[in-house]
Amino acid sequence: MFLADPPAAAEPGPALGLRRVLAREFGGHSAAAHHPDLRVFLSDLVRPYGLEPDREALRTGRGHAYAELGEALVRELVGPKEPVDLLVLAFASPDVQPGRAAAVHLGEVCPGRPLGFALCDQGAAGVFTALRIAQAYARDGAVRRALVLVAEQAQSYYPLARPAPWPDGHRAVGLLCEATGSDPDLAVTDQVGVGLAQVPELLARAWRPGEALLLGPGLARAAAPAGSDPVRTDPGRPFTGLWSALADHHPGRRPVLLAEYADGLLCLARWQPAAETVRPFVLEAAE
Amino acid sequence: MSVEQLGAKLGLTSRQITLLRRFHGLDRVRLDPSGDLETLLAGALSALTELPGREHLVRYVLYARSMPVGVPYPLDPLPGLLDRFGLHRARSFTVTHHACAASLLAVDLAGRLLTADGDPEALALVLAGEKTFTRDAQLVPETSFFGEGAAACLVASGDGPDRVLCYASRQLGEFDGRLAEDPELLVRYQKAYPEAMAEVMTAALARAGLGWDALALVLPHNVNRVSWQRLCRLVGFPVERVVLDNVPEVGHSFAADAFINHRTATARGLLRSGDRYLIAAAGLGATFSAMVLEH
Repeated sequence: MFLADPPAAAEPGPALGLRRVLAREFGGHSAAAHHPDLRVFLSDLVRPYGLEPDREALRTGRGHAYAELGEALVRELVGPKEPVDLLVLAFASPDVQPGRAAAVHLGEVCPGRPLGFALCDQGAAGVFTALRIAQAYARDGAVRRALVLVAEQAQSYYPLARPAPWPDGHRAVGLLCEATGSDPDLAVTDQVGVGLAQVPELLARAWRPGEALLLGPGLARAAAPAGSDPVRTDPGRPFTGLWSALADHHPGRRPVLLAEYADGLLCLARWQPAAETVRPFVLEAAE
Repeated sequence: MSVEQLGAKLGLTSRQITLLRRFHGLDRVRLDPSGDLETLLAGALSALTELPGREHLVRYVLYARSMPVGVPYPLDPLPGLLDRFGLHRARSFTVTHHACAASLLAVDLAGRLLTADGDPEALALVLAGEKTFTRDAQLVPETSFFGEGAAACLVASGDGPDRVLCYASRQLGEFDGRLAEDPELLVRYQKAYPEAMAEVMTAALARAGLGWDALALVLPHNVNRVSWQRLCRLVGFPVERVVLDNVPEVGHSFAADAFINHRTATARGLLRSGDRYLIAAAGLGATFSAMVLEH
């Protein structure tokens, strides 16, 4: 059972550090995509908005379930002696099991049987918010180990009512965080009401020479600070790309600044790998 | 809509409808077939009299959603609501997968984020309320209907009229499934429900250093009346102190029940300064949550 006292305004507890990152790409399709109720659910969901489900896409039964992608990551990323207290599933584009509380299932299969919940409707910023929530719980002593999962799958079952980021593959990334001392190795911030024209100046202010700079797809055309030589992540990976880049391009002990921008929200995460940090890794397992 | 009208529309038998009225204590369910989600949530925001003049202090808007999805991606009512109500300094997101217990999670998350930010003036806004757009969002098999009520709640990290003492949540992933298509799962859930709900409520009280006798009131979910009669017998708490007014008249409004019942309790003068009370919520999937507060 998850029990939490009121937040502690004074004497904050340990900071949460990022210990391990795992990125995976998935081939195949979930059997859940064939479930007959998916057609009913999606028809009911889109009808009030004047949309029709894509019957051909439903017939072919393609796509992935976030419960299954997340479970694969949990099993690879979390050891049996690493009990997790909090699990946050961040997503934006829809699951092929849209009515399933996947985070509860993931909490069930994760060591420590953590409190699981999902965070969505914030686009690529959702992972940053999930990390801030995990840090806030750690600060209050309610969480010592947290797992943030971000998932995206490529199959669409209805036309989008307006243009929006959409993944070109089935992927998930897991970020395993642990309470450390009082000195955090991961600092996450965001700023609201930022115009795209302001972003270069804010990035230049945030980036420190010597840091690796990873820019999310929302910053694909943003000017980077002079001398930063940024890694720009693939727009075909709108929600997982930045975090799989962290696994893919992790430059040893060099600090990393990750940045993303969407709808006036500029998100920044600075990671200063600690000595005990396990090197992140990426696995590409697509068929 | 009356239980009979809605039951007939959903194809329930007369026996099932009679059971919902006589045994479960349901009478009417609030529905707005012509209104959309943004209109529903705007109704709650418009009635939040503590918000005007404080819009600039709101840093977070959390939508506590019971259904994992409510509108087709990328549509989202939140940005429009933020614009309409002048919440220009807030970021918004949805918390879900706790089903109808999501509002308690959202209150706890809001308090954590605000406290970590360290601005004592800052506020968070928690919204709840959903459309009954599909059968899974219309009917809890053999138990209740869902209704279209909405509620809004302001959260601060400092002092306020209601202080959170403890939040507890227990999740039972073995009930991850659709009760409507799995009668055996439904039976197992119905059997496990009272003990799981009682356990999380009792644990929350214990963590807050209280016993059942210290509680002035329980603010329940509005699923039905009979489940609270049984729960009260199980934990030894008088059912008269469970705010069940809204079960027959408003119905079960997803994750909004907690705040709707708080409004009823304060409007009726049931909470006095210093009273300790408990909000209880259960979500299919399954999540059982309780929050202990002091008024």
